[in-house]
Amino acid sequence: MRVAAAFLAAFLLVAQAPRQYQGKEEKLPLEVGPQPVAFSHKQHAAAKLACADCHPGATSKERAGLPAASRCLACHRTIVPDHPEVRKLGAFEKKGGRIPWVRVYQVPEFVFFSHASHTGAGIDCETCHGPVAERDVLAKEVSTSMTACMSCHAAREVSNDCHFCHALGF
Amino acid sequence: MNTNWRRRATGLLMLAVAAVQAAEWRSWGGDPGGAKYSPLRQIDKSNVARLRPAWEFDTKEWSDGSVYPSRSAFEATPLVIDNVLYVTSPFSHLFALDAETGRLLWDFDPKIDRTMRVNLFVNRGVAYWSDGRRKRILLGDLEGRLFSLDALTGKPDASFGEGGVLDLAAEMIEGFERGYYRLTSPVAVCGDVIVAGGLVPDGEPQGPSGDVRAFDVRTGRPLWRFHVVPRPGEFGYETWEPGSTERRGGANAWSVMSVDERRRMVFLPLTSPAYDFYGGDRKGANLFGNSVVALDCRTGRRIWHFQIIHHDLWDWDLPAQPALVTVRRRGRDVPAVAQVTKQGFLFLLDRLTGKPLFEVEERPVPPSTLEGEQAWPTQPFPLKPPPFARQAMREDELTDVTPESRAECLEMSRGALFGDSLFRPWTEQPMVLFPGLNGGANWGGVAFDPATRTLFINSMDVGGLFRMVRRPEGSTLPYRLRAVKHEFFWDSNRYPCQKPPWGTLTAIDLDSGEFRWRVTLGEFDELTARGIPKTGAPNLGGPIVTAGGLVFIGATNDRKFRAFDKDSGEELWVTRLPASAMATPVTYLGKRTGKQFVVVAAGGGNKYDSIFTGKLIAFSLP
Repeated sequence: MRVAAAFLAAFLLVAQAPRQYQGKEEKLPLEVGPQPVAFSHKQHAAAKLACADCHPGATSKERAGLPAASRCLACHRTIVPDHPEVRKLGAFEKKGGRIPWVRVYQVPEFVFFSHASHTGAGIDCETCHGPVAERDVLAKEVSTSMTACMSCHAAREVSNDCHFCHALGF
Repeated sequence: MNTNWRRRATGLLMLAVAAVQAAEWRSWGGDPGGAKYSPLRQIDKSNVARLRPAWEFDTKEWSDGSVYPSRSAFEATPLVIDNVLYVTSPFSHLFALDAETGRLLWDFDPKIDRTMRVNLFVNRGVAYWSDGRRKRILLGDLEGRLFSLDALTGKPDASFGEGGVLDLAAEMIEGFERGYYRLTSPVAVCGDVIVAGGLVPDGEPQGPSGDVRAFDVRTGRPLWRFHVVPRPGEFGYETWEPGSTERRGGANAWSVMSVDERRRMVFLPLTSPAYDFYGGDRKGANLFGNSVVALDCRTGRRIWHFQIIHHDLWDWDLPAQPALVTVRRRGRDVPAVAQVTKQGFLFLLDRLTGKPLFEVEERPVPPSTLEGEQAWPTQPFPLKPPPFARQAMREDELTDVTPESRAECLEMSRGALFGDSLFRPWTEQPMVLFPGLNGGANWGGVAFDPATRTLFINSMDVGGLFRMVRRPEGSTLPYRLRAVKHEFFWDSNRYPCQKPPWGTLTAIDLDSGEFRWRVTLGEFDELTARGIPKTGAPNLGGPIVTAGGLVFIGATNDRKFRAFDKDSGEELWVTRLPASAMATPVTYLGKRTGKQFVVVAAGGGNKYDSIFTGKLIAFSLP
């Protein structure tokens, strides 16, 4: 009886396991080139900054956005303004304000990925970006391959229709 | 006297060989010109109702998207040569079967990466070449490799390429990180020359080249290359905005080419330049995009071209093999090319000159309102024959087959722009497109009856509902096209959102350009059971026509295979299949039994059926 129950439990576990698509595995973690400013996510998270404080579109737009110098300097004009890394911000601001951040996560242009839709559906930032708040330097730790996206969609019973995410044109 | 006797004997022998070959299916389109006509008449109007399954072969190869992310489509048209049937699975796996029993003789698996992400796993079949001594099957695969295999054993021919294989992709994808080059349709064979097109991405403006290339059939040695996007100094370069041809993708030949063996001409059905839906970075008519191009297959020299869409913005690739037909004009036989299109037109062109045999009018079409886009001001409209597909949909034509379907379609299309014009460019407002991205006509193409000079064409009347979405600053393109909900304008039961018909089969008299008949093709059983007249069904795959007076066609997503009276369009036979036959059937005479077989791949799946199989089914009379 106990054996039968164990088999049944095992069967149910397998039957209910979220679908995992087979595809090429990304080699993770994937380190990206050095950032123009040595920014620590860990330190800023510890200071109780929310993701959207620096990535203003993270909960409201398609793209999360990367902070321009002015956004950083809104705090750092008064907080450790003489830190060498903060000084770099001033230099970027003088050149127009854009900081040439090296993107860690990126989906191809033909993929419609909306941060607003995902956070609106209750998906935490960590689900796609990993334990950012624990890292000084970010590397890509979570796969954003098509199979990873599809497995996640399948587990949450969200459409895997090609055109749910993809622009037309193959 | 002796010479005369020899000449007669040779003539008789050639006739006998021709008769045997005509009783087989030696080219993808029945013959190199793609008429899909068989002179067989054992199965005819009087007995077709008695057709029964004769044998079945299961490749057991398909993908429903649950294990591998991409789904498959069993679109293969088999070849039948010397009583051997050659068929490919969606994974480019070739099976050689006894054509009369379906018994496996040998197989060849190129072992493609089944985890690759593709629109669909698909392989439409193989090509055949023989010099009388050597017999070769030419198999292309989804990784862009071309294999030359011994037709008797399946062993690669070591004298071809590198150990029997040519890598056609390497040269094309170099320098493109996400690029691919795939062979989904069989290559053309013109004498001892292989002519190869391929599938390249058209989702990015720059990408692997779609150039058409030729190779020596014995060795694989490259012979020539035709630039589908002209280079500086070449004819057609002036039809592009300066600088826009550089590394431009698309305009490729993913479908099947046809060959006039006697004239050593090859005919290319070319497709839209990349990116298919926005051309602000490729202003101009964009030759040779969406053109039928006739080349000398020995040299690659362009003989003529005819552009069917200027500056395509709708991905209306020329999807079908140009059919080589002969029509009557002023009491004379005129060799012609019949090109059907996704937008529902048939262009009939003189085979030698490319000049239209029915008048074609350049009509003004709406301009684009998108930033940066410059739609071409006119497009070609043939005055005959009439369009064989629905080309627009008014809002009051929204479906009424069921209240639920109407409500769902209404909700989906609320605020959408309904088409009042073919060739209306995209807007940021959702827009109903007719025909949809898959036509109209598609790769299944036509069948042509030489006796009555009648052409048979099936059409899928399913639209699309899309909108242009502005992309963030810094993107390669300012806009990308996005589906409002589905790839097609249909509801969650796959019932198209307009009033029926949803699929048709049309017979066109190519001498006069008039329809001989037109019938609804396919049905939804549950709707028919409720007393709704047959609606027709989405369909993909082509017809064949026989001297027995029959047009055989699967194609519909209702899992049925049918035979029609070629003269009247009356449905004479229908049978249920395990899954939809979105493929083109073949027919041939078994050499041992003398029986005529009709064979079709009933693989279901694709984007139109939820059942997937690897089954190939043969029918014959009892």
